[in-house]
Amino acid sequence: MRFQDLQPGLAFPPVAYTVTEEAIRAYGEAVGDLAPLQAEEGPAAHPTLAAVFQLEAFRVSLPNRPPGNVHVSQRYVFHRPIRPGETVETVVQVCETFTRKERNFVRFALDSRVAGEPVVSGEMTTLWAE
Amino acid sequence: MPTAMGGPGPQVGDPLPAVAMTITQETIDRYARASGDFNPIHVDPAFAQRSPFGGTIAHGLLSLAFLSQMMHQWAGEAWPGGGELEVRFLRPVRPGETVTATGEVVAVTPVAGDRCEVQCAVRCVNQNGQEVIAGQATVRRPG
Repeated sequence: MRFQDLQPGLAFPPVAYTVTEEAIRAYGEAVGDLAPLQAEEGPAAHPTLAAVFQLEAFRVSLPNRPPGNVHVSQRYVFHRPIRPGETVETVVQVCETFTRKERNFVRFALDSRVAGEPVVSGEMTTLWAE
Repeated sequence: MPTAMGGPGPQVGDPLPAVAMTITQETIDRYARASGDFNPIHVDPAFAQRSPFGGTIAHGLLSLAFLSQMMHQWAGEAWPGGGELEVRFLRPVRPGETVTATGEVVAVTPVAGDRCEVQCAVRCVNQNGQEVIAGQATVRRPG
């Protein structure tokens, strides 16, 4: 997918990801934090597990990305904890495209919901290399 | 600012609890397996050596996880239940480097229900004190 193909408003079909305790544990071991599995309210995903399922949705939505893209900035709004067994659906949408210093940038919105209820809203700005 | 409990709420300048980790290639490989992001710039030393970075670099979202962990430790359940985090990726992290997440309160604004909105400046620095990611975190908590 080339820069000129990414028009603001372009949205991709939802990508589903079921959160499991195993996935939370693997993520927790990778980032050195198992506390969310031991929470009083019961095990929950780390808020930043969004980095896993939203990027998976991004890779599925845009499989043909140019090599050399650079992740410039990232924003998350965490609406509520996600529990093991819940299935998150993420929609990737192009929010904005812009050019600075002859480099092209794309800002994506990544909207993650469980049964229609928002759980994480993400925004990712990427330098688009081609 | 006094709280309904009588104790001091968050104050401008309050430090957040630092989180640190030394990043090895094994750390990066483990994050790749947990996240499914096997971009060769992270996990293929031969490929990465030929890239402009001259070697593998950690996933930027690994450093971001330390900021979220710091906010979660400090704000408790208010963090997954309404927290906001916005960062820019400034500098790569290479195997052997130590990443430390730090931050402090920069603004406290009362909102409804005896709560306040707390804005924090947050960043991860490497062992030389250089920022690798930096930005802002916002959380609503008693206060």
